[in-house]
Amino acid sequence: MRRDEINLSEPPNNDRPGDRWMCGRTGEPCVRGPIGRGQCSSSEPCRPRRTWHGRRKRWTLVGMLTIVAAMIVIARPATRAAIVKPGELSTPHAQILSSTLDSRRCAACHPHSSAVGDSVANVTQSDRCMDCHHETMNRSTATLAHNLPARVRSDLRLASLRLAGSSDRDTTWRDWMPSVAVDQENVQCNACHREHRGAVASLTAMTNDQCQTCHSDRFGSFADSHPTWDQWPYGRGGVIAFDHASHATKHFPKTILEGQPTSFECGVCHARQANGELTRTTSYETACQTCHDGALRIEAAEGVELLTLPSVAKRCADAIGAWPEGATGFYDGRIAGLADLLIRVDADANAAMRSLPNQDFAKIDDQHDQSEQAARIVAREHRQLLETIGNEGQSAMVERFAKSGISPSIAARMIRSLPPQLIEEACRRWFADEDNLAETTSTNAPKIRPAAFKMPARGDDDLLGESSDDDLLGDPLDSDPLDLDSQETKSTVQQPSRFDADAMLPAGGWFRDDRTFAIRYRGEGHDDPVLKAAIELAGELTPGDPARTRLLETKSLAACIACHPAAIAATRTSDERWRSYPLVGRPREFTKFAHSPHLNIAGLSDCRHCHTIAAGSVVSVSANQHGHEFAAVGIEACAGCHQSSAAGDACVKCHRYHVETSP
Amino acid sequence: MMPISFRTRRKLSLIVVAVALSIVYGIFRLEESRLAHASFFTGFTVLASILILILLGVRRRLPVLPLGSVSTWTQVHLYVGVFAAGVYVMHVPALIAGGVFECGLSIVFLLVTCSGFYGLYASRTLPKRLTAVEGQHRFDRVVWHRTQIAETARTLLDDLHENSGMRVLGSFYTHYLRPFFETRPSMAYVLMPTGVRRRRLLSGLKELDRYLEDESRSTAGRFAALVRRRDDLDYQFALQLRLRLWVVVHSVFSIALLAGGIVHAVIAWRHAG
Repeated sequence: MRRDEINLSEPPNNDRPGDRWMCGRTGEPCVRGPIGRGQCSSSEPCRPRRTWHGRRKRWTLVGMLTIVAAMIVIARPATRAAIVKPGELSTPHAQILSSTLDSRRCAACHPHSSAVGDSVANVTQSDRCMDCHHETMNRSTATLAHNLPARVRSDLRLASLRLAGSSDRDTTWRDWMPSVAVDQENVQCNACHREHRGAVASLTAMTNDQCQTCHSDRFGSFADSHPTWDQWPYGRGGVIAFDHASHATKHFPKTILEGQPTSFECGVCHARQANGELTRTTSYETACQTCHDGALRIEAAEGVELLTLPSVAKRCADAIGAWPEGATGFYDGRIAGLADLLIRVDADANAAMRSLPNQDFAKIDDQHDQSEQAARIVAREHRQLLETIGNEGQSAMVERFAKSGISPSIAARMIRSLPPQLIEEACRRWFADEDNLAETTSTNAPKIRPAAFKMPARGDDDLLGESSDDDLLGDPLDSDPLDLDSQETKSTVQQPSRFDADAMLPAGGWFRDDRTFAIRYRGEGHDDPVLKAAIELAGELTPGDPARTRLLETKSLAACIACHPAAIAATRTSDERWRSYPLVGRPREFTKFAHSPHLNIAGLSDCRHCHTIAAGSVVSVSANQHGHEFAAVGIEACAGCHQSSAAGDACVKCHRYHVETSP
Repeated sequence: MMPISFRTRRKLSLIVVAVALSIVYGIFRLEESRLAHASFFTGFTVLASILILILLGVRRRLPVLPLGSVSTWTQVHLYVGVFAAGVYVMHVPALIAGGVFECGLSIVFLLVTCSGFYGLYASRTLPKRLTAVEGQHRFDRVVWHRTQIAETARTLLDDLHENSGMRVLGSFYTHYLRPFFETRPSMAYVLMPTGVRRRRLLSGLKELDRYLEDESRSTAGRFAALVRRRDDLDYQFALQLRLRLWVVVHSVFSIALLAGGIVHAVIAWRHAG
């Protein structure tokens, strides 16, 4: 043996690898070793030690008990929400649920998270979603694909096929992919919106394949195979009929300022807002007033008439009773639209009114007894109407309008500034007999005579001036050469002075015209409340209603409707009739577009890059179809940048899933 | 039939795993694109894989049944584990999930997976290192061997008759050898066993030779033999402990993973609708 070698005794062999205990002696071990649960059977007992196998068994037992304890903690409803969570909620949902008790947090969205057999057995997770989102989505259509009924989806599909033409449809390998895993009549919210993916994860993130899985015709990239379109974005129309084409090519170039033609700048009306988006529509004051205010004031000044007494024959006037002499002589005058509505509540008067040709007294055949009788009834009803209003005030008018189908709110706005005293005074002046009139009128207000209508003096037009003594300008009907009494009276009675509404009512308002025996309203200009109410009132009548026709023929109202064609659409609210809202990019449109990121690109900063005026375009001013003077923006305008390797071509970049059918 | 070499078998197995993962990924993407809940598919695939992995432990406890060799089972276990790890990546939105339970479950899965990959490495390297040192010591008898070596060293010093040699060796024994023989190896040595202390003690004993007579030199030589014995014993202890701890961690957390996975599946199923 070398000096650095040594022999040691062999270890004891009284144990086996599977034993849990082994002898604790450090020197010579005992022969039998420990028994049972670590008990030494020797007469001088040692302290047996656990083997590795024994220790491992003990650790495994401790581990199992820990797992069981953990499961018990997890199963407790009070702590379940805090412990069991496959991922953080998105910030909006987490914020909402932060104030909910832990024990109820899961059940706020997962109806089956509570005990089996409770009362929410038939409630789905989508029902819970709709408990909060019912304000922005119709609960009845929430689980329909695209929120559209199957019939509408089918119509859209067929329309798409017709547009593309069956022969133009591309067949790609995507068409052979398996169909959607959800029922299109019952698309649950979580089919697309996957929660528990982190606070900043997007709930609306969708891949193109996911979007197309329901579609019968699937395509690849946007640039290569997306279906084309031909109406974007102008087929949607607006509520203001503004003709960009004529303004850009005719009116602005013709307007010379400081020797230079005015340039048509898009940005003046469509300025960029603080958020970078464009102002879609601008105000009258900004865009129109400078050029159109003068003409509009003149047209608005024509106003609207409430009632005009018709001129009737002498025997008819005698039959009526009190009737102004100035409205006596021959049949003339057309029934005003508003008067028509107020009179038609009386069945007899309505029947008589309808028997008059075109509701025009001038077309009455005075040789025909029935026509004369109808004229008498209608004329008398005019007088009674004035007396009723004079006695009962506005409430009588609102009541009569309501019976004619006009909503009280519109009627109230129409007559808000019409004082009953004005009507009462008209009755007193127009229908008082000559004796009473003599008592109640001064020499400056002589008895009523046929009105000698003369145009009010304007400017320096001597031909129309009051001072003109040219007999040719007088009313040839003013005097009857056979009526000697009248000739005498004329020589002694002073004509009533015509109320000059232009001079006396520059701010607009109701007035009485004693020469034409009319109650009229003079409009002030743009946004006149009574003229707006008159148009809305006309809008509530059926299109064939003669009163509606006569109202809309009024110059002042026609001037309003020229730019506001939607104002007569009864389906819209009052605000929707007059104000233009952005039609592109509304929350529930299928297609969305944001100008802001596009305008940051130098080449796109000029609006005309995309929006070119179509040659020979015509702006329609009908209530249903408006402005279409621009050439449609085609797919090629977008496909240059919108590719997967550039600006992106995800479906959700331009499309929304949740849409609504147009009202 | 020609036996398949280890390299060929490994290549084939990896190809099979890659193909299986590709198929699962294809189905996963297909399910995602058709608005199905693909996480159910991947989740139940992972759970089924875990069950197959657990069966290796069952097979080891049933050696009498003709269920194939443990070696074959181990190979299946290894590649199913790789497959399960791949499917897990498809299943989870993040490697470490949110929430206490899901976070814990994902950590357990990753722990089991990592310990599995470490086991693969350890089973390839540690046996070679263990057989490279002299002696084969059963893990449970390491303490007995340690005590034997310490007592033998004490006896050697007591049997020394030469005064000068006893003084020099006694001083060295007291300061260096006794702490080495009578204490357990340090945690640092257990984690990273090296030959530094062994070389330091042996060179110290060699340095004493010039102060010693023949008898005490012989004793110093026996002390050197005991230092080598003890160091080899500690080396085997450290490596065996590493292997045994790996098995404990891997198996205990595998059971926890199976239990947690089942609970997770039940919760997910219940919260799906």
